[in-house]
Amino acid sequence: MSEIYIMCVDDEPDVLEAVERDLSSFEDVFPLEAASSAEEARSVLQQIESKGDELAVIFCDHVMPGETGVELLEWMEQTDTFKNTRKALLTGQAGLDATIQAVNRASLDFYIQKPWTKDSLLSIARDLLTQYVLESGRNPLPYMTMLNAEEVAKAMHEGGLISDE
Amino acid sequence: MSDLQSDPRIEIIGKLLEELPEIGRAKLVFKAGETIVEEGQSNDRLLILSEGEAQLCKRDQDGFLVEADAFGPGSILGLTSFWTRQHVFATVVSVAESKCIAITRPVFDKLVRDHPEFRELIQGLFVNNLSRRYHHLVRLLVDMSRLERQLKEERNQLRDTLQQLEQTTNRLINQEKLATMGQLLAGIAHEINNPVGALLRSVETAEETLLQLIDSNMGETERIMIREGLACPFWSSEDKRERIAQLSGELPDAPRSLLRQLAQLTDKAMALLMPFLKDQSDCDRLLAIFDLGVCFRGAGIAANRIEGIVSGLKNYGRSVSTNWVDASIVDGIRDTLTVLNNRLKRYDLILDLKETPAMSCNLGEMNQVWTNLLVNAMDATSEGDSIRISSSVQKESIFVRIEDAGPGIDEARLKTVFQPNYTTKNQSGSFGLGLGLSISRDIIKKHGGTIRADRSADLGGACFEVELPIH
Repeated sequence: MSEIYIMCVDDEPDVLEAVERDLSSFEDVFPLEAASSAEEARSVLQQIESKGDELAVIFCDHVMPGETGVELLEWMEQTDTFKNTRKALLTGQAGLDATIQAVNRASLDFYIQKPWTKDSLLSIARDLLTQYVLESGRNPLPYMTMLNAEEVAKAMHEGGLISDE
Repeated sequence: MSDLQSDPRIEIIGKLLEELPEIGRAKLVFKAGETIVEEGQSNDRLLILSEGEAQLCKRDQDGFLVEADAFGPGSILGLTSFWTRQHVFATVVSVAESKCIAITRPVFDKLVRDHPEFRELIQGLFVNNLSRRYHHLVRLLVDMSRLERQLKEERNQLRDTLQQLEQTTNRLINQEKLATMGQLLAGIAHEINNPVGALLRSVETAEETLLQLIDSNMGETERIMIREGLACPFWSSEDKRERIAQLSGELPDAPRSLLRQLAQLTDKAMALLMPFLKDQSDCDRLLAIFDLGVCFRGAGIAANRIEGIVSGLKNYGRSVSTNWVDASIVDGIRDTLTVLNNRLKRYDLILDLKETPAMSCNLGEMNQVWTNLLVNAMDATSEGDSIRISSSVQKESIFVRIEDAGPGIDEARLKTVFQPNYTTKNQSGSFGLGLGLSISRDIIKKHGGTIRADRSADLGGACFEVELPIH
């Protein structure tokens, strides 16, 4: 079965390490990838694509040397494989213009202001993963431990997957 | 005042008139302020001013009463209106008590006809009066032209002054803004420093305590694991990815989260851990201890980074309001880089900073120069392209160059860029006062230095070279 990845992108190694550590609890269900630049992220994304895997959620910094986070998200939005990826900016310094651009042209799903807390990051990751899995039409059960159970149950009711009768 | 002083002819004319019994005396006296001849009225007599003083007055288009000429004894009043029979052109008012000899038209005609000596006398007076009036007119025209010239000059001066005033105002506003920003920066830096200091101390104490606890309660392996964690470098994300891939080949059954943790280990920690891989609880414990070390290392580095940033901010902020000090120019450039780091990190920044000897300078103003030049370079350069800052010492001077890979400056404009109000930033919403380079040049001049604009031989864009003498 193809894998569903989570990815974080930040040019500051200590920040990247901390985000990775915070998200590592998802790892055994959703493998984690980390990249220190948008360019590196693209090459990892191409590897994911070539293996037939998917990316569920990306947490991306905005201001980085080279390509910016918002540019990367925009590119993903235009790529079939990653159009449905849930996109979050994790940044301390995306200005209004960049954020508007991200919302309008990259369908930004979440904006997380640095410094973040582990709890909020995990809960956002959980919600975004849940949305992605439910939208993909996959059976959510294998991923259940890492998803928002309430949302999944609701969706299954509505979708007629589970019946009360 | 009239330049016709008492004319002997007046006395003779007076006597002549007295000798004509059929005409009788025709002496009139006007008090000060009394009108002698009134503008717009008809006039049928000649008035010869024998004593006193009178003033020619004319209202201008705006209704102001202008004193146009002054008459003294010997002047003929009502001359043109009498001669041309037109209405009086301008009013004549007595300034001091004035005595006039009045000659009506019939008397004048009779005198001219019967007394050749009168004809001669009055002719002389006429010519004198008219030539005096003519001189007066020419002098006035000359004066007017001089005044016009002066006025033009003054107007130009005024315009220059106004322009200078505008520049000075802009400069003052700019300085005030900078001073406020400096205070803010220094204040913020101070506020951050306290909690960061507390944080750093707590982290240090926690680290020491943890090491003691582990040393006295656990074995050699744990002792080494925590220290390896503390010394663990930041792996690049590429290296880590490679290590995870490699490890997943070696340990095909290991879950990815374990592989990620293993990939973080140093070689020494990895060798220590290998024998424990089979035992999950030992393995988890040792990995947790290693990770504790990594966390403490991360916290320490992060706190030190904040300290560095805060110190840069504080120096930059404080420098804004400092006076002349002996300071290192390169340190000031470093503080400026810290303050601008947020934007600069989006460019390919090439630093070639050689230490420079301390020189007497206004550090805040010099930092303003570096800020202006760097902001200009960033504005002109596409993100990702190169900006180069280099410093060197040659003989008795410090050289600082800021080069960029932007479009550069046209040959023709190389000289004008330093003029006040030169700006390229009024298009597309961004705007500048056009003062950055002019202020920079003034500051550098104050330090006895020079600034030159050129094309960067290496990067192709603009190159600004500052030369500062080390006094």
